[in-house]
Amino acid sequence: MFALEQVQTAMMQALDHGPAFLPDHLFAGTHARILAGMKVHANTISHARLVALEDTFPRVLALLGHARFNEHSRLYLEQPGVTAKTLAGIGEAFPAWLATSGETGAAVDLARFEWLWLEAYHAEDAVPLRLADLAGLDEQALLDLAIAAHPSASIGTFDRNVHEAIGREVPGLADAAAIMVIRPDADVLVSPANVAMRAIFERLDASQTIGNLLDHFDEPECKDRLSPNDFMAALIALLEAGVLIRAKKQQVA
Amino acid sequence: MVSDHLSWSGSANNRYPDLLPVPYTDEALGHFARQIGRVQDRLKRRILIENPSRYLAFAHDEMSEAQFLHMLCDLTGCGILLDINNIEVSATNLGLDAQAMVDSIDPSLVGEVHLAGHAREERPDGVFLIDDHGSAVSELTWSLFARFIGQAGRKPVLIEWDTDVPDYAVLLGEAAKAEAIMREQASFVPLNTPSLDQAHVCA
Repeated sequence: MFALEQVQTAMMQALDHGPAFLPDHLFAGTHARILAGMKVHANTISHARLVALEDTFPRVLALLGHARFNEHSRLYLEQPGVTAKTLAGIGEAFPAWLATSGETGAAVDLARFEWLWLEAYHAEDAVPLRLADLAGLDEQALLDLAIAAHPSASIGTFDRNVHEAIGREVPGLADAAAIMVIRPDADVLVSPANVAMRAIFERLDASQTIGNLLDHFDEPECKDRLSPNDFMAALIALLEAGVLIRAKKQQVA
Repeated sequence: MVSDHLSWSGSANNRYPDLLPVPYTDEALGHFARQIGRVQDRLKRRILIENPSRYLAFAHDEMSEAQFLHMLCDLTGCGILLDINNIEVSATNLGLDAQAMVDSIDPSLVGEVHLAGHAREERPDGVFLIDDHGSAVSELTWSLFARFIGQAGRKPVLIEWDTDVPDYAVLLGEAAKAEAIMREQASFVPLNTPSLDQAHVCA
């Protein structure tokens, strides 16, 4: 008689390391039928994980070809901690795996882009702050307004091959300084971002008031110094893209 | 309708994306009853628990699958999602009587029926079925469905076909067949039936 925990532990060990880890007398039936049953489960699990990686990184799959992608996938799935993730999250460390496996910067960055896209897809919902929301604010109220990054938003720089590949579908992306990924509503949107937009976004790890941001980028020692006009233009572009949300006061850094 | 399978898929440290088998023991019954209770309390609604496709049977099972499901219903107030293809798969793989398995299910506890096709492997030690949702519903599953509907009356039916999905007309044909069986077999319509056209196909 096996306790429930013993049953689960034995099955997990057998699925990970082979049927030799199955204790005698756990299952009814002949050895051949037990092996056939375990094989069905092992195949289903392996197939689901491999398909999850293919679904997460379809462009990387197309770039590398099925054989090379599959070879990477199988080795990646053997790395510690990878199979502790849900199928939706199983690809999180795949870009780093490709990098350590000697893949090109284009392949690694394409994987990074696809992972950010999926993260945006699964991110929690939040109501974006829109330009119209600021219409009634006077200057002081605008400067005191605390903002944060939308939970689905990312703005990153990638290998030029990624810009060109995604740029075939998104106008203005091929020559853009950075790529913005955001899911303000139902759909994940990909659009170009400039240096100023990226600089502001990077300051939003913690919530900030618009006044604090303006002061920061106006400081002489700021490496990404922006004129007030450039700052406001970039802020408006971020608002129009849905990248910002209204922060709670207590979250302001 | 909210439902989940009578199965498990991992531990706190590892995940196995499959429906792994549950030993039908008092200990497992207590565990599942607690878990179903938590879900129903959180959702504030009754859920259905689906009988799984089984490829393995535990040597120390203390009760049948139907007994296990019925006791879960008694303990938690949940219902049953009866997958009749899963009955055929489990019965064939484990050497059980599919008709007796269907007959042993209390129809009043069943809130929905699933139908599907399966893959078939001819092995030296007998046929082995794999629940892959990749083909038409088998003749045996149709006959088990007719038998169940004859006892239970109309039920919401979902036909699952999600690999090697055929033309839409084929899917509609499967749904029409389920509907025809319900028209023929169901000699009564439960009063709370919301619609006469309850057979749907899912791809």
